[in-house]
Amino acid sequence: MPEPSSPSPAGRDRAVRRVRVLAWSVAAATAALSAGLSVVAAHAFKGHDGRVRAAVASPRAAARVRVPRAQHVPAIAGAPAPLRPPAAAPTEAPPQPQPQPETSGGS
Amino acid sequence: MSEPGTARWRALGTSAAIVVSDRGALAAARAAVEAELAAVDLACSRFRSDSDLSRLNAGAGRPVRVGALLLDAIAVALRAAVLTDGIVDPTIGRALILAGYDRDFATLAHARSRLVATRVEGWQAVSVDPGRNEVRIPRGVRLDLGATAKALAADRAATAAAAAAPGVGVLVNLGGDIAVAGPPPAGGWAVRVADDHQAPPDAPGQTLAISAGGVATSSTTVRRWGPDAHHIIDPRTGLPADSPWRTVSVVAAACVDANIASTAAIVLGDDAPGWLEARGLPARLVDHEGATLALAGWPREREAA
Repeated sequence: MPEPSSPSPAGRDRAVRRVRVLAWSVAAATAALSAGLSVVAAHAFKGHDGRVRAAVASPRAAARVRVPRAQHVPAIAGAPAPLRPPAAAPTEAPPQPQPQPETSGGS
Repeated sequence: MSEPGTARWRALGTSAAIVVSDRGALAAARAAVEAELAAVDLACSRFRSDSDLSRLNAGAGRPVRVGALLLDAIAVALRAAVLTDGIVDPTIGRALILAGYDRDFATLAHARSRLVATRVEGWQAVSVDPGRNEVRIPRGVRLDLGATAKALAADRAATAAAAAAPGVGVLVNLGGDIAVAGPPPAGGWAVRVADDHQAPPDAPGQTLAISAGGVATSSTTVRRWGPDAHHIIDPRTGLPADSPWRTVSVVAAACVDANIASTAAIVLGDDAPGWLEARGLPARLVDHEGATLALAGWPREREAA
């Protein structure tokens, strides 16, 4: 059985460089993916303010992010009736009121 | 001359009472009130898993079809938020829970050592589609209608009772939220205002008379479960309001208006007197030492508070 030929030093250097480039590529891709997912998560979950843009998002990334649409404005928001004072101001109660007083207090 | 009649029972997690100017009409009036309160409880209770409100809170994040009564109650709560610039806000439900008010108060025995604050989303986050009877609240938001629903129930119940007993004066008292309807008795309906709606007659307070509308009192002296823990949340902080006033009573054309104003006054603190006077709402404010301030036509006191 023939003995396997050992690689030359130059070949080993090339292989090491390839591994190094591959490692950096994986690290860069991981970082980019993490950043992208962070932006998506920040917009997808509670606490997001739709008026604020994520500082780390590129315009392209921001364009991909789905911001919840604006809320409906409740019908009441137009011009609700103001708080109405009583038709007649309250007065001092008579000394022996009938029926007996009811109590208004915190509950 | 007809004799007045009174009935008392428990409803909506608090005391309920009806007073009629003619006791012959008491049964019919009470039946109308009980039916109204049962409907409000089923629609608006935060503590019933089968209520419309619980269904809405559980469905946060998507549109939920609700009944007409809850839709009305939400419209009233949103009106309160608009008129108070968000000081009385229905989206405080989560803040109340985090503050420790996470179950019916009758079963709330514990006192938390530390309050937890949360950001209150704000009433603008509530979407209402009246055409479809649909409401949508964002995920994580819980509505609480405590500041308005009980007073709304008092108004509705008084109106229903007066309709069931034509020509008879009716007063409904729901845990201190008082609404009247129909012809008042001679001299008006006597109402005592105090820190607590269960206060005895000799407790500090004042007795006044009203002929229409409603009276409401908000107080930080009741419904407490810790040194700083009470049920009136300041939406600006997400915590129980830190107010110079311990109790505020207001008279208005409707009980719900009175309750919106009294709750807002507690939260507004030093700004409350000017806010109430600008709206012409007769009010009585009590500070933590018991000193009182009467505003906008509130009658002068004959007795010490």
